[in-house]
Amino acid sequence: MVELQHPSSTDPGDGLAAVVALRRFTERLEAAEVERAMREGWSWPEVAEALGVTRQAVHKKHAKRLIATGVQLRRRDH
Amino acid sequence: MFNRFVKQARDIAAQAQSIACGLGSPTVEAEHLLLALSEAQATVAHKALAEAGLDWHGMREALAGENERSLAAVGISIAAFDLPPVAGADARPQWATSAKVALERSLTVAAARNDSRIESDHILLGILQARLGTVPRALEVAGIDRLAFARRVEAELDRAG
Repeated sequence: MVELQHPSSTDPGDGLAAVVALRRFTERLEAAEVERAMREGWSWPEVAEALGVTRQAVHKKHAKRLIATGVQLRRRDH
Repeated sequence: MFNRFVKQARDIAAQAQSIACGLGSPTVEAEHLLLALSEAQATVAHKALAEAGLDWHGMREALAGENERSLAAVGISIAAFDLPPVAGADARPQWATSAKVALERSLTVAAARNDSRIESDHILLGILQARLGTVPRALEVAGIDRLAFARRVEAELDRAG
């Protein structure tokens, strides 16, 4: 389990850089987890609901990449 | 903005965008410009970066080190996650502020040097002006004195010009 701790450094620059790094991390984690869900046969509406975003948003963000990487998407949900 | 950029400098911008896309980044950041410069053969920027150990590989390591260090500050160990690399993101990544600012600064740098055209070396100097953010932190991780490095690039440019 990830346990967040307050930056031990007193430099706000380190804390702000952590925010930037976390944004990058979130993007990567989202890409990996959406891909995993779709590989396991989840539908776009399911992934969207789990992420709390619209189906259009998740499709727009990930569909092209997943198709390019050869993930078999559930046909009726395209 | 790009009309005063020579073709090679415009190519750097285009290359930065495709690098960002290849790395799965939804945005083009200053570090992607720097990675593009590290690959641009036959430029003062490329030579200076290579001499500082910042070829493509060196730059990627410095950026990974910066990322690791920044996450460690909030107690996250990136090594604890087995994240696969993101293969080719969707649409063309959008230009983020860090990259836009670096390009704007390349214009200012060129103006201060009385250079009428913007070359890729000006882009490097523009990037190096940032005091805060991912790039200066990555340079610090790589053990590079940002200002001294910028002065060296300027001196090289003076000699080449």
